[in-house]
Amino acid sequence: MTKVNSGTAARWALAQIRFGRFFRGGGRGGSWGLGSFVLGSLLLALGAVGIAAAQPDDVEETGSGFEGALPVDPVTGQPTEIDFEITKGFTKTSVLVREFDYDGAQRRLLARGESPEQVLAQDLEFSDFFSVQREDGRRGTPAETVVYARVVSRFGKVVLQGQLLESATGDVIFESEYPLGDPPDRWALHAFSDDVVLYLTGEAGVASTRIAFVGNATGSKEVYLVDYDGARLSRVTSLGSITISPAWSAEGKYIACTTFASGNPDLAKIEVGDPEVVAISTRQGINSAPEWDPAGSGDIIAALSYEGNTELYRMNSNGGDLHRLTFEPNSIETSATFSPSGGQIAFVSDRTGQTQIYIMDADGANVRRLTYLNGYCDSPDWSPKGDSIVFVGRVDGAFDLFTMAADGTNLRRLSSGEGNHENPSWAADGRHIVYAKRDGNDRRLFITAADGSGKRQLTWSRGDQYNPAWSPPLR
Amino acid sequence: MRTFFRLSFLAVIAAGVLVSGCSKKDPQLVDPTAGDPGPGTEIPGNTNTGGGNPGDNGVDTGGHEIPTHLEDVFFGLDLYSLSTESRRGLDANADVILLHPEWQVVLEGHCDERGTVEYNLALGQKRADSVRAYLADLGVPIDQMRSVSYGEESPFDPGHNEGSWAFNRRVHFVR
Repeated sequence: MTKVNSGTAARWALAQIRFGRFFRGGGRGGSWGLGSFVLGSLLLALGAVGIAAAQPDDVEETGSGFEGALPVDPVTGQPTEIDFEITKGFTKTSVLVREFDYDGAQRRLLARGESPEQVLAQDLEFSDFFSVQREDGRRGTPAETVVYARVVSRFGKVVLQGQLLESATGDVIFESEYPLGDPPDRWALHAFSDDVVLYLTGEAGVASTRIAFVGNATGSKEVYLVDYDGARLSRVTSLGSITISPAWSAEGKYIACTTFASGNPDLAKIEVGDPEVVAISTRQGINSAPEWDPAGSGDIIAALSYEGNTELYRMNSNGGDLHRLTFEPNSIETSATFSPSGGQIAFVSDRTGQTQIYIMDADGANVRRLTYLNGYCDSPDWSPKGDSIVFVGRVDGAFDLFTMAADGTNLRRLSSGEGNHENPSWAADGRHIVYAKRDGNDRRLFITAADGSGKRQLTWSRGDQYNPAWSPPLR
Repeated sequence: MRTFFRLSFLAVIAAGVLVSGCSKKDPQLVDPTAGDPGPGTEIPGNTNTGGGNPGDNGVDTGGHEIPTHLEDVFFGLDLYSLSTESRRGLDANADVILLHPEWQVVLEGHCDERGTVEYNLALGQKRADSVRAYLADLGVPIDQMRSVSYGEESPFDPGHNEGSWAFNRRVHFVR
């Protein structure tokens, strides 16, 4: 299902040699084992002959020198001494997606020539919990669970009746209904997939999520939306100006942003689906870097400079009830991110002369420093699972992706030598990250698993796509 | 690195001196009653030097032209501090602004494209604010100046190299 071209294999093999490790891949390709080193050397020779350019393909892996989150030294950012990569702590459950039956309804393809079964299979595969088989004649290990649906036309409405079946007994262990529509709406498949993930694992799926980002294809910088799988790219704002820093409210109903529409960087919010843009804070100076409280209070934290220096403030969603959180008149404090409980805030400060990441209580008390990389750390985003903070660090000239625990320990590096990485944002499952990276002259959105594996390009539109924000589940 | 963009800055000025000899009307005519040397040399060839059109100079009661040109100032990577050249340029700008109490001057802070959107917005604000504070110390009334940051969002040079980046790290004067 995923293509690995010779260039990918060559770079992967180079990574093995460079770090002198044997590693068992825990990522999407499955386990490779020790023989991978020999294989890698052979592929390196192949790759040296011809490195194929990756074709735009929605599920193509871009390949990189890093196919794992390497533990690194907290000051140099370089991998610590040789060690064996640990495999994922679980084996994937096998599921079979059976071809749907159509009862009174026509079998129709979705956009990009995809069948409903294909979209469902891709959603389940993306969750990283399942080894997904299709009922297409290929033989794999017998699946424990079967995912199946009937598409039924009832009173002129087309409905997807989804079922989970235990393979051994044929018992239906879960079923639910989703409005599919004619032509079929991808959201029905995404909703079914997320229900399957939740039922079988207890975890949130992210098939029903979208990514907000900034694009400039129109000549102005506007906020856009794209589904997590790259489908249905659409523009949200038409302000004809510079509009940046999109941030989702806790339940996904609003997007906050900074817009220059009135000639000053102001904070504004948009209700998704409503064209109106409502001002939140138009104070003098910058009104920037908004983040909503994920615990649902409706409060926003932002970086404002109206008192003469950029500091962090908390306010309600109308810009009132303002509380100042930081008091560092000689330094920049910005890029705040809440912990999932809303009780703590990680943020960026250059108060020591270096730009690093700090943490404090949500009322501004108890400030502690988290990063010590000899360079520049920025753009933290706190995982919705609470256990990890992703950020970018510049230690080798370009910005790379790093993760760390919420106390600054367990520093891991997810990229190296692949260009400048910016504005990483976690998915609701706490296992995937979207970010922007320059591909040639333009910035594009990419997705990676939290262990650095499976990096894939998400957007290919004209101009730049950058500054992404991953939505909460939108159901 | 600083030598590189200092040299390229000088090269551009040198080109400017050559080209300015070709212009019909020299916007650098100084009002002799002002007693000062004119503002710094012009950087021609682009619209990014601020200060309005070279053609719309005011004229004082003696019939001499009042300087109107305001030059942009540039910054090192991640810095908002003012270099010696910047201060010289700002000294000249202050003289010009003080001759025009009717002006409302906007100081736009800009950054190069590296780093994140949010930090660069704050850094651009710091650059604009440090210029504003320096000019205020020279006597320019605070409410004649407004500082606005564009961060990395409105670069003057779309290139992705050291020269382009240095060209974008600036405070741009608009009136």
